[in-house]
Amino acid sequence: MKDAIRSFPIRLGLVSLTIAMASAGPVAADEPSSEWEIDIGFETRMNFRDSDRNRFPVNFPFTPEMLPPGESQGAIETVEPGRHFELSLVSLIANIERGDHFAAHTRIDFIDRHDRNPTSGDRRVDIDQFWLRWGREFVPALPAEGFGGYVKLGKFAKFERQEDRHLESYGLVSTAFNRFEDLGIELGFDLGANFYVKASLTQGNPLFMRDPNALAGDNGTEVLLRPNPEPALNTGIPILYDAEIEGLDFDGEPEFGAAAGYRFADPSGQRAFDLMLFGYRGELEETVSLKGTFYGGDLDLLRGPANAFPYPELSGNDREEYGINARAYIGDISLFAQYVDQEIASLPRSGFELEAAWTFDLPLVWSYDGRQLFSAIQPAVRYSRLDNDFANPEITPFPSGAWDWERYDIGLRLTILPGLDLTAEYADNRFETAGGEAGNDEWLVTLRWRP
Amino acid sequence: MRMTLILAAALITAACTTPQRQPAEPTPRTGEDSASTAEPADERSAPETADPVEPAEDETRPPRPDDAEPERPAETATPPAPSEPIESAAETEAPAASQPEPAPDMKAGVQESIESDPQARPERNRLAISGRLMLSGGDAETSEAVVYFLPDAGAADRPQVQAREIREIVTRDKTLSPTVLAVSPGTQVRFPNDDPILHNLFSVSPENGFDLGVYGPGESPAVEFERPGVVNIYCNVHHDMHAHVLVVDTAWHTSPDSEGRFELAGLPPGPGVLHVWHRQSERWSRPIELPLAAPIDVTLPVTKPKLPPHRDKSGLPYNRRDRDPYR
Repeated sequence: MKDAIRSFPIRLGLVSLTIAMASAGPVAADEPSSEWEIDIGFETRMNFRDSDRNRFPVNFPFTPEMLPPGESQGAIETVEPGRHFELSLVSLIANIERGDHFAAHTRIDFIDRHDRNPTSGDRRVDIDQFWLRWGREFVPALPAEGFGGYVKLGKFAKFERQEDRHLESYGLVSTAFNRFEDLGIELGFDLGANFYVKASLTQGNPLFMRDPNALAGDNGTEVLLRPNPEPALNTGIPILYDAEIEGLDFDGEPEFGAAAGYRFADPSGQRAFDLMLFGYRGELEETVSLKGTFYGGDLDLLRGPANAFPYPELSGNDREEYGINARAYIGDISLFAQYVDQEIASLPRSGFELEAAWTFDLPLVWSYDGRQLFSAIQPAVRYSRLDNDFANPEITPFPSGAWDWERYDIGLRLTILPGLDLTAEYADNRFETAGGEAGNDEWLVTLRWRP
Repeated sequence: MRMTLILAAALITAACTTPQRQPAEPTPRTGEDSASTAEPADERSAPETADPVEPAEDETRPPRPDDAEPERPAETATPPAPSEPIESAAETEAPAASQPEPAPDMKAGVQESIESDPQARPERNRLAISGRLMLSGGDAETSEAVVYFLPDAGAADRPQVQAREIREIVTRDKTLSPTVLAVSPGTQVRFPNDDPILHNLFSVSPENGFDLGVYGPGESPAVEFERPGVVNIYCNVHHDMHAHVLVVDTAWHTSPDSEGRFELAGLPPGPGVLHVWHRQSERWSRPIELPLAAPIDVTLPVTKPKLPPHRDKSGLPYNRRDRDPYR
């Protein structure tokens, strides 16, 4: 069964590709936009990371052999404190397009240290994205030319996700609600130039926990089953989040999603605006098995170890999420805002995120191979917050799941060459623990190469 | 026979020209000569049409097949009567009939001149129009305007238009220079790349659209502009780069100096339309009857930004949001 699940994207791809070839082939061969275009590339990222060391004891009664040597109390703590150089990403990216008729996209991660999900024990090679699309899909804030639409099939990003990112880190809302792709089908319709609607039917992302900083943290990894374990990575200060799907899940209820939006742009597209309302409705499963952890996702996680330490207000299994996001582009300024209100098994929480970025072109001083060296610099700031309107269980190994958070990110991206940039950013996390406000800050410098 | 006429013209010119008068040429090009590498004058050809055809360009979409036959703007197809105010431009030209006849050397705005160019018609006296352009309400340079005169259709003295001329718009420091260039149909414009980086100049002008593709340092691709119209030129790599070629079906065009002063010389007597075009304003046009009694002052309101709104050659915004739509 697992083999079948893992081979699903491949089988799906082959079937869909066959359909695509058959359906797109006869379409107006003389149209200029109907030519096949293939683009295959890769992306790699290297990081310098400097993480604060923070440790917050928990009241869960771990047995002595469950704790690291010499410790008498469990704790949640920074995943990997200190300064580290790491190769965080190596991805293969492939795009096949035929004008507005058909597009196929895949992104396969061979190393994805910062998205390793949910722990470092996750599989090494991951099909991060794989989808096929028939029809046209417009990027945000770009009015359509008349009526049209698309059907997308595969593993794809949620339609409210911020794709044009200016920092390498994620805000709290992006981490908690829509960082990872889902599997299913998505439809989109352009109701003229400005209005659009979208709908999706997906299997839904499992609910799990991770640190909102670069590394997710190791919770429930195999090494923790050993007596007095000494894991290489710590738990992190995790929050609840919608984790990456594991494969095709035939057992759970599907998740329905819908969105409606209005987009506007001046003739040049330099001043543009996009406002979208969206919502999802689904159900949590009793448990979801995730590779890399022996903790179960969804209700299993919310009920605590051995299902004996649930959140007091936990009730039912409904999962509902409603939100609004706005994008604005004013010349070289880019703005993104998102508000999400979610209820998971009667546990309410909400999040807000606002990001602004500016691009400043630099004068032409140096060049390399016909391209300008250091062509632009882009400062970006982001504020995000997560309000968990529910209380922790009296005893829990994971108290940070109910803490209220604020996070300030500030960063600077330098375009070294087209496709090669350097981003330096600082994350200032502030959260309300039982003992008062605390933080878990991090410097992150990323060299990204996408030739 | 042609050589005989040219020699005769030279003799008449030498006899008639006074020291105070500027040597008249059919195509004065104030501020443009540095970019000119004109071929020999004997390759000049007659104009093909009498009316200007300069429709506005939609800069936000790529050319389409049905763009081949653009409509002519009413502005130039049916010029307004002289007594009517033309758009919002203020002008101080006095009606010729109400002006006392000034002494020849006092006619600041109307100078008689004699063709000295052997290509011009030597047997007739020539006129000139001078004036001043002022721009109001915005950040704009008068030197980026083009002043040109179109004699009425069927005028017996219709001038010859230069053709097969070669001009240049140079790319340097991610800037195109000159920003505005007026040429006659058939002119070839070269685009030498003096930058150490790649550029991709293009235009979606319905009349003269082109795409030079990506080209590197030292290369100098060229485009021949065959049809009258405004050609807005951009770089597909660098959003802020822009230049504008105005293809006008007349040899009488010039650009004002930095103070706005302009002069068109070597004009034939009779009716015609004087046009002032500036990329940051609406075109100003006025029917006139030469000779004029006074200089023409034109004030144009600046209504457009320095960098025209435009998309890339694919019709997409330059914004960074679509650089990598998949991540």
